[in-house]
Amino acid sequence: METSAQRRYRSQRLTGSAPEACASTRREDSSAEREDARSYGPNAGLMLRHEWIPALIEREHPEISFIEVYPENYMKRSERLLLELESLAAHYPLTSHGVHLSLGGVDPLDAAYLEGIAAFFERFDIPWFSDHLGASVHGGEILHEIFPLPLHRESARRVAARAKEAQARVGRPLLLENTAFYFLPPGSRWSEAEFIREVLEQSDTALLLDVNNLYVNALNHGLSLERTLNALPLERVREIHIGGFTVDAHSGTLIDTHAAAPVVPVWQLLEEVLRRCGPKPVLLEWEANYPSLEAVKTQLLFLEQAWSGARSERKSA
Amino acid sequence: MSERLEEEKAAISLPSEEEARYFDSLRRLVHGECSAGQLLREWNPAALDAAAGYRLERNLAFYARSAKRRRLHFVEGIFPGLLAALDKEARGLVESAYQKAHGGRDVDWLGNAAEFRQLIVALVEEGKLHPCWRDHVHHRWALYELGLLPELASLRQRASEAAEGLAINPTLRVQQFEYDPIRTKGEAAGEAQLIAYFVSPHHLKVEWLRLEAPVLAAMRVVDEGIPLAAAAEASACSLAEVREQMVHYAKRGLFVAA
Repeated sequence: METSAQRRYRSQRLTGSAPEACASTRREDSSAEREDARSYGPNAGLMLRHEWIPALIEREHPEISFIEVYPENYMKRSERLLLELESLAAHYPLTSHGVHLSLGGVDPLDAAYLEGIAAFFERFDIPWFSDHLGASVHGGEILHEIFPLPLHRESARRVAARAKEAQARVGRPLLLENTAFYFLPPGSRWSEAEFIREVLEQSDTALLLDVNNLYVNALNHGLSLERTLNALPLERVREIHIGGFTVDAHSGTLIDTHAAAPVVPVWQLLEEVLRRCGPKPVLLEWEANYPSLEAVKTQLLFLEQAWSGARSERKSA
Repeated sequence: MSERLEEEKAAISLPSEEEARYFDSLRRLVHGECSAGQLLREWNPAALDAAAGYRLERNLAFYARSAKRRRLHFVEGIFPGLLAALDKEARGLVESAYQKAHGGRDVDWLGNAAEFRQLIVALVEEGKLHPCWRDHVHHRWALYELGLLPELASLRQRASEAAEGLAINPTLRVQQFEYDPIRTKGEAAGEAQLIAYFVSPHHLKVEWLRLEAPVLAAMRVVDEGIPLAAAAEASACSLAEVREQMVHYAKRGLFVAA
């Protein structure tokens, strides 16, 4: 029997071709076109699983344009791990996606953490860094989740001030990611898109747009994706994340677990976002139940296809 | 900027009491100090109908479960068996200690576990945990840092086989001890560090040794499974020296080297 989550899932399809269709109609770019595409900047990235490092450096994987890492996994760690990462960095550009900044929290920003990531970025030549529009620390204690923030002007202004400070102290552009939230915090008066716009404009930071989170939120809370996309500051998108969700057996809620492949409507949403904001780097996230590197690379081909399509449209426009 | 605007700016960057209360309620939720239902009653979402209220409660409960799963996954991932081996009180202490330690999101938990180890040590020093746990976490941490936790089973197997080759009673050794040798990169020619780790039902022991060439060769016999003669040759020492080291340490219960 179809669950309500499944019904909502079916009803939220955007127009566009499915990834299978993308694969079957994927045209063979000439080498010149491919070279040109690469020179535009990184397009298809992969979130690092540490055990993939040997396979990643053993031979070239042209499907992977950049690798993203959780900096917390490598900070304050043995030199051995850092040397492994260094060998990877010799083959791929690295970007950073943190979980400890807790920009929406009320604890003071963690100065030692900011210094640590700044040094990490320096060592690995990381051009920008990202973290979440959420809270993950309170009272000095790790919450082990990224919690949603009250959506109103005062909260947005406070988060923006913290984002501005973090960006200045690290000395690199900061990208803020829209999160999946499974309840609306008390006192919320704005939409998520309004909140994001206010934070980014006040802090002059960029948007890391997670399309799976957009989709999950739309399904869980009955939101219109079209309206959300129209309200988001897409002109500030600098990177895009795509991943998979699972359904919580207790509540039927879609959870952004990165433990499954992205579903067709999320691929379609990615295509729509790329159409609207132009070709931006897109990263595939896997956090659990991940397949082999070879299987993941097939998914990266979908990314590149979507990215190339957006780029062609942008050129012809 | 005018004084009034400066004041306004400062006020904006401070959390409202409402926000602070909200985050504290989340902290209590993930640390098991209150249930999702209690939290829901505190928030008193009068506008929600029963179905929406139920859904909100289930989703809050999800956050609590997810946070707990991540916490335990971390502890068990790096210190396998630690929680299971502790009595209820000590387990509570360890979990509580972890709540103050840094954690990451990554399911590999290559996160900032060093602080957790320090907290365990602090609990030992305060007399709240048996001293064996200090050695245990030091040892486990070292293995973890060197990326050798996944290899323990194979190392144990090789140690056991080497013991058989030396006519040492492997049954006795396996019953009484577990042996986890690790090596760091050689600090100087012919030297390395070794942790020998022994577990009996009531005893944990860790020793850090500085290895001379024969000891290193003996360790390689166990660690890498290479023949005694080849290990001796590679370390520029005699077969007898290597064998002597292995027998010596085996008799002490320090199987590796020797």
